[in-house]
Amino acid sequence: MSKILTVAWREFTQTVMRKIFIIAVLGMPVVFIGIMVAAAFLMEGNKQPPLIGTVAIVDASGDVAIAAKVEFEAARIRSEAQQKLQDQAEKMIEGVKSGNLGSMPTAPSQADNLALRGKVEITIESASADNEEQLEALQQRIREKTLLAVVVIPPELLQPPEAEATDEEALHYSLYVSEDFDSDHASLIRQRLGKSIVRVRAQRAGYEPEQVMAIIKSPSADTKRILAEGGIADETKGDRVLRKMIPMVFMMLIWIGVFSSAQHLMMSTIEEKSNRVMEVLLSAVSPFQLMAGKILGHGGVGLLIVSIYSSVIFAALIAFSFFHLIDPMDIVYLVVFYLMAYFMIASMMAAVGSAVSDIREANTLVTPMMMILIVPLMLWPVIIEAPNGLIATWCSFIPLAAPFAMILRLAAEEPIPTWQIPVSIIWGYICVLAMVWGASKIFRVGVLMYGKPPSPLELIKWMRYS
Amino acid sequence: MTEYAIRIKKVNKRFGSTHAVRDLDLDVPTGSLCGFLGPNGAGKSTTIRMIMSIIYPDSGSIDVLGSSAMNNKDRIGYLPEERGIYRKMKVGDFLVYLAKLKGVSGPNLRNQVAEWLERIDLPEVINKKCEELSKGMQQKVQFLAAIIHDPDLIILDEPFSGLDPVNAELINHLVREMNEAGKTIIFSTHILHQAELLCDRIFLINKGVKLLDATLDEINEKFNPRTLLVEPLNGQANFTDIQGVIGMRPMPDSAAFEIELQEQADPQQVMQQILQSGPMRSVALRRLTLDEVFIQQVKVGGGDEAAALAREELSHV
Repeated sequence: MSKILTVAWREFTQTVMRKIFIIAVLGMPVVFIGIMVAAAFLMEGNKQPPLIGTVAIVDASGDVAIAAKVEFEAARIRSEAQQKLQDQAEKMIEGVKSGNLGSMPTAPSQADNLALRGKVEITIESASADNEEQLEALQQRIREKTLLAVVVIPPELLQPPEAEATDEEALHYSLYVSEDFDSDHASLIRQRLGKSIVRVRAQRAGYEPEQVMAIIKSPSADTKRILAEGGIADETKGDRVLRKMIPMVFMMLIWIGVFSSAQHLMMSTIEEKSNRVMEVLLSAVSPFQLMAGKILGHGGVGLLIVSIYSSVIFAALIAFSFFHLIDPMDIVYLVVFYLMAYFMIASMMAAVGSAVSDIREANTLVTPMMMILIVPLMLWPVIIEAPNGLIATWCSFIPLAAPFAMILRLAAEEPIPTWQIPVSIIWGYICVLAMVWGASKIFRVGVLMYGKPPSPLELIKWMRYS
Repeated sequence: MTEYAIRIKKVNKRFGSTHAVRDLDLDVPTGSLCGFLGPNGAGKSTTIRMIMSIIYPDSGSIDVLGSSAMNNKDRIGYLPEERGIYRKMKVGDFLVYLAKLKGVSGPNLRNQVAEWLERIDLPEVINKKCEELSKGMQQKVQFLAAIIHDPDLIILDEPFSGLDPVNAELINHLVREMNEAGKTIIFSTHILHQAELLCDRIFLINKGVKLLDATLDEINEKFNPRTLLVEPLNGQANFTDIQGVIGMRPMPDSAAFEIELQEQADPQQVMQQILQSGPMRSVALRRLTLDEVFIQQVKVGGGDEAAALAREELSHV
């Protein structure tokens, strides 16, 4: 046992103390945050050209101009755009969760973009254009750039339309802008004018415009969860969004931890083989001790990575007082299923590393393994949506996929049958033992084999060598 | 301590169609310094790996230090033919790591490593990375890695290959010193004079078959063909009258004569009489070198073809 620990300690320190490791592990979140900050900065820098000037409204009644003065207020434009963006973000999360990416809302419209990030200062001017000359004069002012736009509203447009009127029957108004007018600006002006006209129509129909707006606004739900042990938990909007993210975050943590450490394990095994230190080691330890030591050492590396990342995440949750969303048992499960996933993948990586002489040969053997491992990644929306569905349940008992599927299901909202938890854990660890056993057989033969890389079939044959 | 450090009985090992080791019997007495000789591909490394329990024989039994190498790894030092180091690891860390794997513990380990490095003339490398060392220096570090835990049995696979004469002598000295301290040492080589200088016991193998297993004295005794080499100063002489001499014949391409002695004759006496008979440039007892024994044995064991191969092998040395 002490030899296994000696090997494990060397593997751990030699991996963790490498500059490249420190840079990669600590650097990844830094780079990630950096990219986000840079992106925000770039977006900020990518300011829309300011939309400043006068819009002349030709409307005999003068009502549209009055309404437009309200609708073109800079503060109103901005707050409406923000509201819209928030609603879209929520819909997006809903879409991701249900896996129904087709129904996802598109990016914010050009008009909203402009409203959010550009400077908008529009003065409304009432104008009349009873004859061609007057209209020509207004158009001339557009050419001279003293007017941004001229809007001509036909009086019939302001009558409340018939409820069953079709799109074709809907009336149009004319908007004149200069040849080189920014299309985003035009789109914003159209959006605000549309609202102004609706406002006038509402008034004429005898309603308070603000009331109409309030009536058509859909309310948002205030979800309360009835707890199993009694009582009710309030849930804020932030809670709802995060609750859906947590299972995915947990799965990604396991995924990143397992992959980076198992990759290191394979690389170090290949290195020992290719620099021929293997035989020196085998004169001191048995192949099993060597493999076990390596697996333990790199498991420690993975745990270190997972704890660094998860403490960053937990710290963020605590900072924004969202930590109540995480059940302490979830953290226990995180460790249990991390170790299960790690031992499964690490034993396979150790076997592959022992059997080949360089990384290129390893890739051909690792690829089929990767295929199996991609499955839970691809299925995660399905599993979150139906944690007790057929696919989710099956995945929980398939080696390699099981730990990923289980952590998703356990962290998801819907509780899963209690019996499945111990059964999946016990079954998973039985699989771990079987895989470590098989890997040790391959490892023993593989470490002293040089030359042509073995096929997966040959690897299985090696397991049967006494 | 048992009488024999290693006992190999009827061991066979095949790799596919190659019969690498065939019905091998070998006993290595405790405390001996044993040379393990044979041309390349003779089965030396295979046998050593089986002794080390790195690979296992198909049949037969191997007893190392009373049980098997598996149970005695900490008491065995092994320098494999394929030497490896961790290129990125510091020399000191590497040696400490291997010593720990060999069961050495204690707070002084690093100091011991430093002392050892001084003994092999590498005092300044302890904090250098292994890859910064020259090949010869790496070789010495690897040798140190094999003996750092003060093992009872030391197995060295081609310990001198790639070393310059000064460092070869250094290793030579250390090996002898360890043997005097009671350690059993086996080293394989195909450089025969190396073995002749160092060993008290020779074990010769070719094509997986043991050809010779004897002490150096026994070999001298057995392969002494009782011949003198005499070169008279004037080039003319007749020694057939001297008692004990059976006959003489001139050596080709030289002025010397080969003189054959009777079975019971004392070579020293005959040599004295020859010296008295006239001025001599040289008088010597002609003994077979290990090279000749080797070639002769390979010939006996494997026919002319094998002997030719062996001869070619030696000519490269």
